[in-house]
Amino acid sequence: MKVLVVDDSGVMRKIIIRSLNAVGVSDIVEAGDGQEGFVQFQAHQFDLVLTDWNMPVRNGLEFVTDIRKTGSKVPIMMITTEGQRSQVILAIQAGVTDYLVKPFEKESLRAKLDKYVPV
Amino acid sequence: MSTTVTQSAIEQLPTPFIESTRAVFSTMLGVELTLSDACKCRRFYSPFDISGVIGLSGSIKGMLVVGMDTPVAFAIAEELLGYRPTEIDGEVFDMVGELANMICGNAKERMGDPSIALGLPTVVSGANYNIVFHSDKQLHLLCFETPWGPLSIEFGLK
Repeated sequence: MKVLVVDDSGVMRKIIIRSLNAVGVSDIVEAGDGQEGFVQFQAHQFDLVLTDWNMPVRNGLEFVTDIRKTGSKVPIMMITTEGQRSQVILAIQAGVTDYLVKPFEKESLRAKLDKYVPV
Repeated sequence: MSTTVTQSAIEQLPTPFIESTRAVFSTMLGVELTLSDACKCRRFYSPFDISGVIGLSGSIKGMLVVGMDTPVAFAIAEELLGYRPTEIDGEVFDMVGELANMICGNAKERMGDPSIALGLPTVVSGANYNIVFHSDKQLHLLCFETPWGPLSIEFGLK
């Protein structure tokens, strides 16, 4: 299973990657913003994309829209501080499959990841 | 949808920031924070080694600063990353910025106003600096005790 992790915070990427490692995922590509993420998305075949919303250059919502414009149906989980209902609706309309609001407990992220990681 | 913030809402501003700081530490770090002091002050002065700064715009405008000393920053980084940094490097900067982002983002959710937007966090290394805020009348200082030492949240909003 190959996962793309997009977040401008290297620390947040490490926290997410630790959780991915804990559920047995080690084939991970990182990107620091939506533009870099889309370059990686086009260069590889991913089974899951995890992305932040507020990022420089190209934000998470634009990144998700870019992905969906390609026709890809890859599951995309947005992990963000944007937790208001209106924001979640915007993200879903853009094509987000799953949503996790920061701050989060490690167990919450792992429970979400379990849905996408094959046993 | 109204984007007008009343004076009473401004007076209540510390509450979402107190709750959000506690929520970030309890969920991400498993630590319960104690609020040791909360006051209003006329000017900002940081005695801490490292600070995360983040701007807010929309119906509430201003800036929030999260301040801590090096041992606190190292301990938080160790909890989040699984290893203890040995110097204030890019990773510690990044962690402090993300902390400011999560505290401010969570407070924004608690205020329930979608017009409020967050900027990208900036990190300042070094103590004894001043920040001139937009509104000197609404400068709030929140002092927390973590298991590793003090942490401050200071914000000036209008």
